[in-house]
Amino acid sequence: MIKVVVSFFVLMVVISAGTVYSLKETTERLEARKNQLSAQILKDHAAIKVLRAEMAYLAQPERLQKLSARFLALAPVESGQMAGAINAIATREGATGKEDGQNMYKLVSFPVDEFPVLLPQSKPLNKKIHKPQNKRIKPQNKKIEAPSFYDRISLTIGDDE
Amino acid sequence: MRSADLHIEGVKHEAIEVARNRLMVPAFLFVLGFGILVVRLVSIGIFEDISDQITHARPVTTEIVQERVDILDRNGVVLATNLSAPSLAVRPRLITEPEETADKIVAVLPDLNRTSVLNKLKSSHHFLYIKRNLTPKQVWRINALGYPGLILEQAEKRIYPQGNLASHVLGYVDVENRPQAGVEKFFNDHLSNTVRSNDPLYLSLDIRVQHIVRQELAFAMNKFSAIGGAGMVMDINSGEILAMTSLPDFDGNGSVQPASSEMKNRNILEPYEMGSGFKVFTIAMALDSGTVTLNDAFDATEPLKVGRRTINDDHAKERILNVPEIFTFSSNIGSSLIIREVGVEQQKNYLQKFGMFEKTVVELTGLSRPILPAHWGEIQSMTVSYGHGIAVTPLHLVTGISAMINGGRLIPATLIRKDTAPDNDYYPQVISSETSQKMRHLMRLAVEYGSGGRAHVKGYLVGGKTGTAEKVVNGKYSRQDKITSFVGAFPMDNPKYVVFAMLDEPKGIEETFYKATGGWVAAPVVGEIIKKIGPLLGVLPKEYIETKYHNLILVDAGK
Repeated sequence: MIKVVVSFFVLMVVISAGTVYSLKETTERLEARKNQLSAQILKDHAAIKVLRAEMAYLAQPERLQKLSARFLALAPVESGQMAGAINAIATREGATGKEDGQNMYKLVSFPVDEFPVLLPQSKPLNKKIHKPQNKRIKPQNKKIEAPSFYDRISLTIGDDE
Repeated sequence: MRSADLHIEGVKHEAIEVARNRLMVPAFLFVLGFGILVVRLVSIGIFEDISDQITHARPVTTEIVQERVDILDRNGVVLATNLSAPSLAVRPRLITEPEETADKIVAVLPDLNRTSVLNKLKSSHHFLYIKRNLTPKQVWRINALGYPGLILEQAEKRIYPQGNLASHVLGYVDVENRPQAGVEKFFNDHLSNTVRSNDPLYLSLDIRVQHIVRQELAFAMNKFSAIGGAGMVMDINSGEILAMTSLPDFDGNGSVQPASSEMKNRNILEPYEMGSGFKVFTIAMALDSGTVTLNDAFDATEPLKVGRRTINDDHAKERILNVPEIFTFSSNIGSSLIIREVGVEQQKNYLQKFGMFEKTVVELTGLSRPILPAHWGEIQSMTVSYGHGIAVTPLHLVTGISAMINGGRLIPATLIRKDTAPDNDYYPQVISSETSQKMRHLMRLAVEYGSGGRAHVKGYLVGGKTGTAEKVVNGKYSRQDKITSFVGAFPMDNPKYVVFAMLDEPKGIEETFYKATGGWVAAPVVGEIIKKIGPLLGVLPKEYIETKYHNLILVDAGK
């Protein structure tokens, strides 16, 4: 009887010692992992900070303006292009947004609303440049004049760096 | 023998029995002890939460960059941030071969002078800085040299990614990251508090608007060869400043000369005589006090002689003008006659209410007091009525004009983004909302028919007032050197923003018939700014609305 009891307790002691050891081991491993992760998070935070600063630098309004004048066929929004309400937009016949309410149209946010985010853009070099058929009219002339002034007053921003 | 054995055995047995019985006590204690341990172990494992205390007590190995809090614009664009930029230092006693070390350092950092590096390496000091703010590549190469005497000390550098764009608002920090001007200095308690490093400072500036204002101002400055310029955009209902620029400006990233003229924020630092822009206040106080109504007329046929002075009109109509006409055609004679009705004391009271006697309130350092006439008699009151003899900063004017058209509440300017809608009753009512309504129409008239015509923008109802003042040079008014300004607001049916532009000493060019007045120089700047920022700020364009008092105005009469 005693042998049974003693061997039971010995077994218990061995088991509990083993459990404690493995628990401790697991905890230490988790803790190391946790430290590693938090160090990684801090590193990433620092990297995000650098990236944010770089993004702000690359998205300087003046630089964007120059790049857009050079590569995009876009002009600043003018007041005439703005509509007060979705219903103010002229609709095609048969597709009236007025009766159905707002479901007909989906308002997407303007790029300017998400100003810091740069939109992906295909490389300008790969774009086919569409030349007008009538070569006597050169509408680009007007646009080229504009940046020449901004070049003069500009900060020195390395476009290529 | 056998019995003896038994006896002995009996004794042995007894002794063993006693020993066994006694052994039960420690065995029981052991079991109890281990039992407690097991129970405790199971209860900890199952019932108790793992607390974070242990892991948190350990020091974090990587230190995040957080010496100074970031500054963002109202949309979250970074205006100022801290980046890691280690400094190279040396412990000269640990350097064994100074000549060779110096050669290698200069090879990595070519902008250093070899002699001075060598002197530092040979010096008897304990610790010396060689260069601050190394790039990651330089750090790597210095480490690759492998000299134990060279120390890379972790340091941070304040970076202004926008360069010159908002430099006067932001200010700058010196090499020790101590703030020297602007918001950096005003909010140093917040910005230098490392506990709040995840709590960036949101300014009211909108960097896009700031860019447009700066660019248009620079364009005009260049065009009219002006020596300086200032521009502001303010939300009249909250006092938030969306753009504040002063030219010439500086780049906080570079080396800054604190005494140079680039450092001057003309919006707050220097009081100027604002000229006709002040007529807004004159007419507003006359209408608000009830001494003058819109239908009253004053004789502006001849220059007004007061004492030894003669008051002339720049755009003389030489006829009797009513109040809207006096404002629209910017008649100095008319406003002098109006202020004579209002009286000196009342004028002073109103101007004090409009905040023209005190420093303005804004989160910047180096605010200026206005310069008031030493003796405020009738003549002074007349000159003040058209903005001469009193010098205020542009921010005074913008804050005052906002109050004139936002319903009469004087809301102090702020550079911090306001997230909650401002409380209407919180701010002092300086003129009645009826008077404010009238002022909106009058300012619209001045753009539609008066001197501010070049501020007209298609799609927006722009109102405003030009101002041209002769500059005081050596204590005398100069004929050539002028301060021209235009303070505009839009849309006038429900004003949202005040836009201000000022140019210092513009020269007339052929296009403007060699004139350099506010209408020719500053008004187009404001028009161009409004044209660009209107769609950006989501201000809806309106169909043309005929101004309310247009029938009071005789447009083509006179000259």
